[in-house]
Amino acid sequence: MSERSASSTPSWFRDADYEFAAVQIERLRPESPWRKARERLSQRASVRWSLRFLVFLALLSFLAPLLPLPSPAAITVAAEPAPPVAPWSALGDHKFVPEYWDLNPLDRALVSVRTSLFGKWRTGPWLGTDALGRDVLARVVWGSRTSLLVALCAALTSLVVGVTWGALAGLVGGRLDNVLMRIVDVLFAVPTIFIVIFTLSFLDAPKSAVGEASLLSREQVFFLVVGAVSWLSMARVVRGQVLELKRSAFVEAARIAGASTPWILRVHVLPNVLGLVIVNLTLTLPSVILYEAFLSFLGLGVEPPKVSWGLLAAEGAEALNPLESYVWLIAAPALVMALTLFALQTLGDGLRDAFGVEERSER
Amino acid sequence: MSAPLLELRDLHVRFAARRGGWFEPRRELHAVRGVDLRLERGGALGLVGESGCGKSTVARAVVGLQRPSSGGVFIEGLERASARGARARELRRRVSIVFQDPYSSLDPRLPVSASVLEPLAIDGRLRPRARRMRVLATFEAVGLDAALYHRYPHELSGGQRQRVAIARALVLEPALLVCDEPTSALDLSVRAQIVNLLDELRARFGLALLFISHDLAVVRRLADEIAVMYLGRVVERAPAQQLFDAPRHPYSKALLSAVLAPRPGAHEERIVLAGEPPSPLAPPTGCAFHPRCFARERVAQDRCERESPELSARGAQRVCACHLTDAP
Amino acid sequence: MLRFLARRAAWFALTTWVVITLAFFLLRAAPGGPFSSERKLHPSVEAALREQYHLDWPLWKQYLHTLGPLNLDERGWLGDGADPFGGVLAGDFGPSMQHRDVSVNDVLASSLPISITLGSLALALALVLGLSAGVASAHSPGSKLDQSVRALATGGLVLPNFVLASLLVLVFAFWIPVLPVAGFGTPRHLVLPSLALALPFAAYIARLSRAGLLETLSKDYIRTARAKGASRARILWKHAMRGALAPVVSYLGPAAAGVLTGSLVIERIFAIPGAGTHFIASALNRDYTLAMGVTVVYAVLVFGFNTLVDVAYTLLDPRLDLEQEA
Repeated sequence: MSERSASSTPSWFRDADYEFAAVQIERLRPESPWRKARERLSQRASVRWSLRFLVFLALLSFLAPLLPLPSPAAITVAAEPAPPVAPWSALGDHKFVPEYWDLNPLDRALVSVRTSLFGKWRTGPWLGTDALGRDVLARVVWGSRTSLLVALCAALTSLVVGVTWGALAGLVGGRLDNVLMRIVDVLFAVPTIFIVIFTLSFLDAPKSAVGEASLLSREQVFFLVVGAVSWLSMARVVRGQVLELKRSAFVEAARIAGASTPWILRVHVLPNVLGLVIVNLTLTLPSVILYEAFLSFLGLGVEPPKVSWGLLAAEGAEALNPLESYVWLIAAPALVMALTLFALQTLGDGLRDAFGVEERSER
Repeated sequence: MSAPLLELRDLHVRFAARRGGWFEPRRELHAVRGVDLRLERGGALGLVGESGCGKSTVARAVVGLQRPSSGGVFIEGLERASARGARARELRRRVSIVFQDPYSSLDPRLPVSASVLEPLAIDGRLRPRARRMRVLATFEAVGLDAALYHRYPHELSGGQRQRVAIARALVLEPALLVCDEPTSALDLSVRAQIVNLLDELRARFGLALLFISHDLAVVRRLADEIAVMYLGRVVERAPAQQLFDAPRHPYSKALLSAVLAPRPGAHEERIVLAGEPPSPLAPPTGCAFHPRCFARERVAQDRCERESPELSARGAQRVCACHLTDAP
Repeated sequence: MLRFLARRAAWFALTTWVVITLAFFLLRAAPGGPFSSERKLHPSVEAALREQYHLDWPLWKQYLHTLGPLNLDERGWLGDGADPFGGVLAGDFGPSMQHRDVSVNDVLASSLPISITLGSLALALALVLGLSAGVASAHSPGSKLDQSVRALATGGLVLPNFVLASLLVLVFAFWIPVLPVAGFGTPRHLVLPSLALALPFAAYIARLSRAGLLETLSKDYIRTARAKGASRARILWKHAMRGALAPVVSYLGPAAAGVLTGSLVIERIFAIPGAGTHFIASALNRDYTLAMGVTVVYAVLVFGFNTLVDVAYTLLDPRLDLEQEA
């Protein structure tokens, strides 16, 4: 029989008859499900606006040092919180002082570009100032960097650790699956807040007691910790889907045809998992941003003078009192946060409908 | 090339069953318990039986999805499980399968042409354009419109999807097509079309069929020879016509009486089997069929409870495993 | 069911052990100690304190002593044997290292009931508010009521709970002074905290139950009931509720954990003397014993509640096999 394996085997099919049709058909592009999902998404005005808002926010937050905003950390001595003023009544002044915390080189460069572009001009207190005379608008814009970075960090961990973990457990199966998933189960059962608080409180020890400078800054640990707790549900969801795919008849058909595991992963598993991953991601992000706020409120978030939305909202909440309500201090960060989360949620709902993924409560 | 296209020699498949608890002994599911079958080039063998009788496991072993626990699957004299490298590749080309459910057997995120093309791409034979030409040729052979080339599975009807699955199975020009209940998920009207298509393909390409089904009407239409399975064993094997005319094994009789419309003039009763098929985890002693056997009640042989009957000849071309019909 | 509970118990033991071990080593690995505060103690005083709390022991001995159930100090097995049992496994967390002369068990006994009251109140409130909003919403999808419920639910999901709490305080304590701002004692003191704690979960439950109800309402058996002439309200309550409750019940587990986490914030805002206040303080002050106590109690609470939820879930959906789930 092995003689037959030569490529000169007379074929059942007269392939040559189909050359013209093959050329014709190559010209037509298949209507891919991705494009379909994109079309279904963009049909919704709410989704379009959410996307625009998020892109705008991301740009604003990245370019914060470039904008002619007052310094978010510049303190005016003996100031009272000042209410917002309308942009048309106080467009700006020329009192900019470049006062920041330790910025990274890129941000420092952006700040110098800003000073050469706008000089000492800065915007007016359009969203008011806080008890230390710091501009709320500037603080909200700079604070978005922390909140979005936390979200990004969690998203990356979910993607890298969560997806790999789940895919590995689902694909390899057997003992490895058992071990990997038991780890996830135990981590799920241990309330994550313990780990977070313990880890973060390490760095809160009086410096003299520490003796040596810690390897990581508090902020880095903060990002690590938030990332570390955010991948669990992703791992579970991905494993479930991969298991289902592995048992599916089309993967078996590919195996019969001799497909290798990398082939199956690339051709069948990844494309079928991707929709689920994206949807899960947009559902994780809001909860991570809220988590940052929660930790900031407990004093475990970023350290002043750095800012984050959670820190701002927490400061605003503390500034509320029955005699004098400085409502703008809480309203500004709360509103931006609400808008962002709302946009993310709308996007997530839209994506879920577009990909046809069911809503499951995270267990 | 005197070796038959497909030969199963004393095929056994065992699964480790889930343990009930930590202190219970490990149990074993003996799904296929010694099956011998032969299928010649261009032949058509039907494998029938209730669900759970091991017929699908046989199919999976034939295409290499399931390793035999002992015994072997031989294709053109070559043992499937021990083949490596180029030989394994050649074996994969020679045997392909059509699954039961055309909804799950096609990747929802790939256009159907890509599903058909996949075996060619994995095999790595033809050049890209030649592959497309081949796909179009198979589309034509299974009666699919070339306009469906770029469509996705969810845009196709059940019958069309099953045609795509058949096209995928044919694209490497196999010698043997294993059909695992290829029509049972389809509507009745579509069922006939698919059966006709398989018959036509068999005639056109000299394709051999291993056809697994519980639908006896379909098997009768397609198969030359029929093997009846019960609880992991073949209990009767006979040329299709002979089996339908005069089944020997009581189980075959029961199966046939349940399906076939009584012929005018014949005074056969419908035989209704008592009870559920026994669990393959705890098979009965002796003849696996004896707890449900109706013939035993009339003859009453305790040999059935003690001794498992072997397949033995009943005439020139047929075999049967039953103590009660031992006499030729 | 018995086998399920047995398996759960095994899981419970494992999880508790992981929590104890993790908490122990994380605490000891953290820089500083319970007596290295701002006020520098005299070395001899510190040494005496360290000896009193067995911090001079090798780590493994401290660990075994903390874990229990055997008491390793001079009153235990190795000493006079007057007090043979101790440690977490014996339900004895030992003396607090910051609150001098008070045992951790006492601290927990005075603060935990407050937290549990607040938490269960919030959870009940979340269920009642969320379910009724969800049902009202699903009763006439697309109506004004439905739209406003969904808008409110969104509001509950996009704001941190301390902002919600501040808003509630602003409205119901400052602008319309009907409720106390903070403190604990009378039932009126509980209204705002439990509401603030409940709102995010109520919002999610409303979403879940609305989606679940609408899905079940579109199923065949509901159509049959409707064809037989049952009223919409009757269908909603009699037929659809069961199916729609399943996702809500399975959400209760994460919700309980969330309520616990949220109570850390709420107790601080409303100055409620619950266990949450001790949680962060003890971790920051390196009060090893108190931190261990709060952590273990919280983990046990979450685990117990999750088990309850799983049992409730099978009662609701008998097809589900607990033995498979565990």
